Amino acid sequence: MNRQRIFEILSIVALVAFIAIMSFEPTYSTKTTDEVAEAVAESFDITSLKKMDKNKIIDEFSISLDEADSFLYYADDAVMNVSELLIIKLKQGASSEDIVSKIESRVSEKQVLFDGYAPEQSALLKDYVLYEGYGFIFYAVGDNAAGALSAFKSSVR
Amino acid sequence: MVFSSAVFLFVFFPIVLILYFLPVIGDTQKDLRKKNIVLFLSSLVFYAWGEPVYIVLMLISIFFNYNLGIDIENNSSKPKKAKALMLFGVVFNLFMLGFFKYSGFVTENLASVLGKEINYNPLPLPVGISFYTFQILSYVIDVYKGEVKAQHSFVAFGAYISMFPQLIAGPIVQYKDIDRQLYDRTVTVEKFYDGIIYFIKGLGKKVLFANTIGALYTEIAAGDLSSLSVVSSWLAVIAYTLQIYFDFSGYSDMAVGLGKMMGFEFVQNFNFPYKATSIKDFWSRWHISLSTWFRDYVYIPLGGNRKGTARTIINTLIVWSLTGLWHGAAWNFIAWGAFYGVLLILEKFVLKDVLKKIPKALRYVGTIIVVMVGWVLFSAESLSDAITLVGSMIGLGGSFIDAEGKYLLSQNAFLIVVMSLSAVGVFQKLSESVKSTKWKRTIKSVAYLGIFALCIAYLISESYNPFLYFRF
Repeated sequence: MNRQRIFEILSIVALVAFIAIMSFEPTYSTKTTDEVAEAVAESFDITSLKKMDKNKIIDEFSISLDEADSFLYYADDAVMNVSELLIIKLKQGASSEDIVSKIESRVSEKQVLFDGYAPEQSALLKDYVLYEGYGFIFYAVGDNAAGALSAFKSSVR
Repeated sequence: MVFSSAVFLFVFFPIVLILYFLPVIGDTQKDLRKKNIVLFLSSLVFYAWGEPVYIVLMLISIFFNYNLGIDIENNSSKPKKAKALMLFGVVFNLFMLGFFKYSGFVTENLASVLGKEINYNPLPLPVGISFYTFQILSYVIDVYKGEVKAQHSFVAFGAYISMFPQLIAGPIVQYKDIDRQLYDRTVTVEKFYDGIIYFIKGLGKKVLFANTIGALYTEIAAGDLSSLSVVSSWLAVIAYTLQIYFDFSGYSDMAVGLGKMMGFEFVQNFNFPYKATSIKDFWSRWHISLSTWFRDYVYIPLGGNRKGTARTIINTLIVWSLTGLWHGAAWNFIAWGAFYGVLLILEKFVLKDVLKKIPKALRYVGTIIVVMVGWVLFSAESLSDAITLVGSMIGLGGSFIDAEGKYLLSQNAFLIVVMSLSAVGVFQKLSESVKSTKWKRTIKSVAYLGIFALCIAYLISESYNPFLYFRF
């Protein structure tokens, strides 16, 4: 067998190994929303926000929580404070598509609302983070939202 | 990393240029080997910036195809063996693309057909995989056909596949078009200047035009599509039509510009597609490198139009369904591709004589309307969303014009007119009509500097805004 053929086979072995590692990484986290929120709170200030109930989530995002296993929502009643943190843990195998798209629609609507007259709020809304993975949906708006996402990703693994 | 980001403009690219033109690297043809090393390594850094884990996948692909190319060449005197190796390479590369891009789509559709839940781990799409896989396929097939020699330098081959200017969103550079340039290219002051102009033109298209008009589309599309007025729905479609052109052609211009600054000449990917007077004409002007790739590596090998009408129709439908699928793993992309396949067949076999009799202006209007309907299919989240939006465009949604429509029209009419004129090349024609003098060059340089400054001002205030074609 020539050298090229050996390298081709090695490449295939490497590809199979890579796919296996990527595919077998856990898809559903065993962490609870409280555990995750605790980790996120270290890089995202929720002290100025209020913990909201299920009805508030449904009102604000027009989403159904039937597919949710647990959830946490921090926000402020003051209209000009756009900071918020929403963490939803889905039931195993549940689809996140509808919730993610509703969150995207809502953030677009809010961006339109603040664009042009509230630059600070507008900038925060533009830098929103929305992530879906490990059975969670994570959405944050506020100072260091990107940092909150990193903390979230580290905590769910 | 995107070209229109501060980190690329002020950190990454200046460092690459400094390294590329370091006196110690030299400027002779022999020194191009060193320049290729700089290009290869910087391209890997560029790619790893966003999704470091997929650099492994790209390196596996480069290593496999580098060895395969030499293997095919070594067996060129044994046609059956060479063909088997080529087919093996095609299967390997298509498997890689299929697994990372389409496995989720296939699994979801299978689950839906079987009526059962299938658990799988959805993987993020490796950025640029559709582009670099097609480049690799062109290499493997051309080496087999004897049209190019296999590349024996791993660095040069790696630089070709991973070349950061066109890695993420094309143009799809076929190996035969760049083979010679890997060891024979020069950077002159004139070429470097041209490169800067191209780059700034692309940056302006993306930052000043595409992002601005994209906000209008996002604003309208975020609402309820079924109750949009006729004016609002048309505004949304016009906005997306302009956004995707300026976004994608802007990226291609930047890629061509960056290539020029490093001595390369890439193929042009756009030629004022919205000036087209037929669908065939449109596709000879839009994403030219992709259409050329499908023509050379799928349509012609399938027999093209040489095997009778029935086979031509089948080949056209295959090519265009694959073109749609290449853009994304979703039914609306397949429908979009098939839509163009059917239109091209109609144009070729049914409407050919009728179209000849129609005045050019009407053919132009007809083509642009069809293209806009195509973009509805392309941009929609789902087929039902696309049908809803088309319904609103013909008045099935709400009124003809509502308060929102009036407001958005008054706010964006000027921008739409300017962008439309630019998209059909009016400004370029005006500029070309001015006689070339020293003054013209100075004014042009100052104007482009102004555009660059404006882009930077926008970039500072805007948030991250990736190119639309990144997701393909």
